[in-house]
Amino acid sequence: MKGLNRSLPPTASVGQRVRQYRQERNLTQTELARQIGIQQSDLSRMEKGEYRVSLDVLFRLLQAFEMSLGQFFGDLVQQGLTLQESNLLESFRILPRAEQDEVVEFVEFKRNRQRERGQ
Amino acid sequence: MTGATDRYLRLTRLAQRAFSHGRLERALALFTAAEDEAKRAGDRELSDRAFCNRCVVLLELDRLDGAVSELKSVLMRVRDPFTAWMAAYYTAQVYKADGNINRALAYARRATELARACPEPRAMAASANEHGTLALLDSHFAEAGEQFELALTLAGEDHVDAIGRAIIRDNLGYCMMCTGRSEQGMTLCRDAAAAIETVGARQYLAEVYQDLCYGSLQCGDFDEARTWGEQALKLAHQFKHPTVARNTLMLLADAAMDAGDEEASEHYLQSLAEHYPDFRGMKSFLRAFNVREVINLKA
Repeated sequence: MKGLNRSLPPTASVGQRVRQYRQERNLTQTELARQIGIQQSDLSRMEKGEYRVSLDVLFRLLQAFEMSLGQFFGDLVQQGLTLQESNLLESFRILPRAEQDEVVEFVEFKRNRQRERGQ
Repeated sequence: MTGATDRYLRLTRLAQRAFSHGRLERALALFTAAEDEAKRAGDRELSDRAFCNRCVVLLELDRLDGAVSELKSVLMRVRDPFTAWMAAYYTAQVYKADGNINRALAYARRATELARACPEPRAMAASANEHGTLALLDSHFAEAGEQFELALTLAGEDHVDAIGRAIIRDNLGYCMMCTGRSEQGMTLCRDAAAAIETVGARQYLAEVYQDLCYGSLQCGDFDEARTWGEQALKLAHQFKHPTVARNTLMLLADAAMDAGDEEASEHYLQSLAEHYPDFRGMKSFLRAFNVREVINLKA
């Protein structure tokens, strides 16, 4: 397999998440910036997708929100999909229609075999 | 400035000599005496220049923080462009040392403006490099790139040594990688690495190799990324650069994942996780999300 098909979130979407989670927790930019040890103006720029943080600050940010790292980009969790399921779905969607049909047939074949074994 | 007294000039020359020989306390005493002499002569412009000269030593002694309000006053009142440049430049240094990069950058930008009016070419070169460094720390990659390009143009061999020029080149290369010019950035970083390797100053190489690892990833060359990353990691451990080590582990994990090598990615992620014991979900997070576009490796 070449590549693990990970999501590459643009800086802007990370910033939007930060703003969303900060507002949900009723934190001002100044309060959150103080917690994670950056300037309020930098946090403001980060929320607009204009500012890149250090690895340490990224992890401090997640700690400040008291979130698991996986929850930070919460779409997967909200959709009730595991990471593997989400990656599979993402891969499936970019296949041509004929190949999607092949995948569906293969999954149905596997399901039928499992049912037969169960009987 | 009005004419300087002989005593002021003599004290300043002696102070500069002491400073260039690393006798910092002696230099400080002599610059202080020169400042007193300028005050005695009633020459405000000269005493402001003397004060800024003293700040050069205070910066080296890590005692500049108490001088910031006076530096700002000098910046507002002084007419001599070089003294004004010194006041802006050292105010930026104080804020940088305090970790207030935003404010430091504001004064560095002012210093760059003032340097253009200075007859002293070193002012422009020093300003451009400092302005670039602060802009880079503050994620203004295009602005930083412009300043580093200027600094490279001005960094003649008499002003900046080979290592200094290589570091500017590396920073410029990284700025290019962050602004969509990865191939050009790689060329600059390779040049920087070669220059540092020639001098043999291996302690500076870890960061350059880290940048080359990042650039290779941006170019989609995962094998090359791993080669640079492994070298960066080794040197980061050897010369105790923990930030470079953490960044490089993240990049190496990226390279391994992008190449589909799950065993290697697990190894790098596990090593990175050991740096952050409080974040138990880190590995699954980094497996799910490629964060290298939101990280500033120089911050």
